Amino acid sequence: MHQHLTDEALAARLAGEVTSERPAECVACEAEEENLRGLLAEWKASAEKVAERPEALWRWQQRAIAAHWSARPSRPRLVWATAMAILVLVATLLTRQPHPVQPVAAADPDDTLLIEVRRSVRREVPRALEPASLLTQEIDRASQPQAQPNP
Amino acid sequence: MESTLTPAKLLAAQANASAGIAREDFDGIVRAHQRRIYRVLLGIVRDPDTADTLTQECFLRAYRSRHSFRGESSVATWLVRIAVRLAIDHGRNRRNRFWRQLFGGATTDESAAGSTAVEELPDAGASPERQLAAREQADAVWAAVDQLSPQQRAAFLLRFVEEMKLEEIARAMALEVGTVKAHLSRAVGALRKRLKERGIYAPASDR
Repeated sequence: MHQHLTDEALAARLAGEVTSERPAECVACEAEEENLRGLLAEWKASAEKVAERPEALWRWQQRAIAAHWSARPSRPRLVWATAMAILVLVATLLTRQPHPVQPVAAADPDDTLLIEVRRSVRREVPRALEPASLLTQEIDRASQPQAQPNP
Repeated sequence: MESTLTPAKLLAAQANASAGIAREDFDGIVRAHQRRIYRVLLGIVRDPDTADTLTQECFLRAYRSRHSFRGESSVATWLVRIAVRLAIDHGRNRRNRFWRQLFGGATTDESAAGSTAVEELPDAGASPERQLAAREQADAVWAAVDQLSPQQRAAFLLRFVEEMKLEEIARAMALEVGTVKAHLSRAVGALRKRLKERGIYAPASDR
């Protein structure tokens, strides 16, 4: 009894590999192989046919692909764009004029006088006698006897 | 003519790949590979709108990682790798799966399977009987392919539609060659089973 071609052996033969598994003079195997080759040829033609499209569709696809990669800036371009933006920002900040100092409104002389009077009233010593007061305090501090330790 | 990017320019781009791919080369790369990437994605996700969206996303991801392209594989393999990863990630999205199942999606409804794929199939020169038979056969293969896991489907598609070598598929899917072979083997097994169920052909063991 013949050992017919296994799936593996038949696949190897169909794929163009040489195999020694094929039994000699097996007409049935030969016929099956030929039959399958014919089927695969029909299938190949079918696969090619179904993948055919009008030329316009291929061109549309080319444009769609090109549009995708044109829309995405490449990394070096992005780096340059960022660097330029920072440069422009720094230049703008450096060349910008500082805000002009607003002149302070002149104080009301009556208010100033009133504040001065209030401060003078709160003082223990009149302003003119402040140096003398400080001197007196220093003399008092120096003349005080040093604290004695408790027995 | 698909592209203004000549093979010489592509080779030059790959030769200078140590510095990645220049921005100017990318328009040409899109023109040269968009059809293939769309076809691969459509074969895996089985929805034209999703395939379109994922095709755009694939090129955007490639563009963003263009500086890391070192030319260890071809530009095509690199793009297919991104596309397959996107499609598989998309398939993992539970919400999408939920909606697909809710509306009787392709994975469970055999009659719907392959309907989008084969509508425009046979060439005008073939007889109606031949067209019908071809359509039925392709439909059966699509139905079987729809039963596969996204990875198996991707491997099957890359081998039998894109005619990539096993090593290229392994690179594109970030798998070992042995794993790719295992995926193909399971896919062929599923195909045999499905075809037998549909009475499209009889496996050798039944003869």
